[in-house]
Amino acid sequence: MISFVTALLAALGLPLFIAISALAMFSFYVAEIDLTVLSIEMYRIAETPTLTAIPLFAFAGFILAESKAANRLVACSKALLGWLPGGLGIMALVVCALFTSLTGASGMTIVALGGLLYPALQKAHYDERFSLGLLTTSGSLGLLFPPSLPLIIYGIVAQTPIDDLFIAGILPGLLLVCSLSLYAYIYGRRHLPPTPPADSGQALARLRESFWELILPFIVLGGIFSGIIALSEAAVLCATYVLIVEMCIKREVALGDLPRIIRECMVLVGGIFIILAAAMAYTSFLIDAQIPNRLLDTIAEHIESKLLFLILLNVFLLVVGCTLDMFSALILVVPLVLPIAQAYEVHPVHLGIIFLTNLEIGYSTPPVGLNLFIASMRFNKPILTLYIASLPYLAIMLICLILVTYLPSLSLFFITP
Amino acid sequence: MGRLRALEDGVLVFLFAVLFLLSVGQIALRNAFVQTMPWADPLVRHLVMWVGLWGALIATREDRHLSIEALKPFIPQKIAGPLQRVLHAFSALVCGLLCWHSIRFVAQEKSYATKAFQDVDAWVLQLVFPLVFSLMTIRYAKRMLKKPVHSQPFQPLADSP
Repeated sequence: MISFVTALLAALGLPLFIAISALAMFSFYVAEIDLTVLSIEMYRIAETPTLTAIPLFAFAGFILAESKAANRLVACSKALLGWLPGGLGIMALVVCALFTSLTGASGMTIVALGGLLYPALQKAHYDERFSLGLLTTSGSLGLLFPPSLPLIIYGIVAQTPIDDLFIAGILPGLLLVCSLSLYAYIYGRRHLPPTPPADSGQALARLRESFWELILPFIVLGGIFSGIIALSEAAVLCATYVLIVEMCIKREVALGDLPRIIRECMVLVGGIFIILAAAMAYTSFLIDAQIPNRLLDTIAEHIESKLLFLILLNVFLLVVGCTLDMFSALILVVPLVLPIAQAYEVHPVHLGIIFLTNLEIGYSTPPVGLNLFIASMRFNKPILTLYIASLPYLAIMLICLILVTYLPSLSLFFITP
Repeated sequence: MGRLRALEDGVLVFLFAVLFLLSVGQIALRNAFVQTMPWADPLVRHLVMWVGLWGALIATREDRHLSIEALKPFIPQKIAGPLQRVLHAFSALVCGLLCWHSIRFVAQEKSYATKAFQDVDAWVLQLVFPLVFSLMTIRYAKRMLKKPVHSQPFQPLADSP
């Protein structure tokens, strides 16, 4: 009864961390456990070393969003890919993916890049529906590429090595970007006027402008994968590097801007952390009460094959992805699904990639996917227009999802068992 | 009220600055001098907790907490105001309880004299819980009593010009 009321209040707009805390408190109260347990569980935040990476990566992302890095990246890839049919569309996809992997799934990609890319696509005669659909679905493209915050959060919640997740996301992420790019290429050949020939001088000049931002992923990832630095150190390095580049080399972010940027960024981080704190308490109750095991028993009675389980998981996660935001979805659902998936012999790293791919698609799925609302707000278009515009992209992404789900080797290829 | 805001913002920026500089310093020391400050890592972890909770406090102030709102478009205008009050009242109640139990938790830790690291008492670092939750309780309670302002986060169905 209480859980029903809380769920109803949550659906009506109650802050999620309040809803989860209420559920946790009530459950512990019924189980006659002293409620100081809530603070004890929340205090575990201070005992999780990897969490340090989140505010620092987020800070780096916010600094990048504040600078003109996006403009430079757009100009650069325009010069690099402009000659290709559909090249501008492809470059929009690539830039969005890069940008999202650095800024996380906060809707920032659509807000920051949308205003830049939409007019560019329009000017190059891409029709409205194609452009809107592309930019809406690109809002969460790139989540599978390191160092995306959702990947880190999955790693923390599922207690799975984060560097494994980083490697595992690369092929599925490329699959998504390449498939969508292929669509843009075909569209470009069919519907667009011939493109100007490549201008290598121009391309080189633009490449030089974006040089400092372009090498960032290699520095961060190189450091992590070569084993020189740990994840939390990589986050420090990334934030320091971005700060130096944008403040001292490019001079686009002033010292006086920092307090505002820090505040904006830490409010987002705080919103995630407080849910994480509340959920730590609640999931520890669920696990004590053996809820995942009981859930598993029920499911195991009806579902025998791994295949059927994966299909149901996909459907379930798509629904989750379009109703919850990425971070809450991961924090709440992973602890419940992980033990069940393991019983069906789904590798935790593979599960993480399935999770993120689903949530990424769910974000753009009508009727309530978050990207659709952000895009509707950003481009000032009726939401129905965006529903229709995103359909072909959703179809392509769903095909990729099927491949990612049923070909585990796509994710696990580089992972040593 | 403006002063309290400035103070809260200032604390947040200060905490993050210390967190950032300490992390940079630690890495520099480790690599340049193969030396570390043994208290730095646990302190950084506690700072992350402080920054996170403090950020959540400001998110409360600005009403920017993550929520689902799946049913929000279907709420009739008439009951939207009173419903907001109910949600704020519920939030105030939950935060109040969280605050009360975190005070008990901190008191317990103090009586056990638990150490967070080296000579630092854990309860001092844990004070952030009662601090943040009490301020949240006050915020939600005030909002519950205030005449509801009609907020319009976005109007997705609005036609384009």
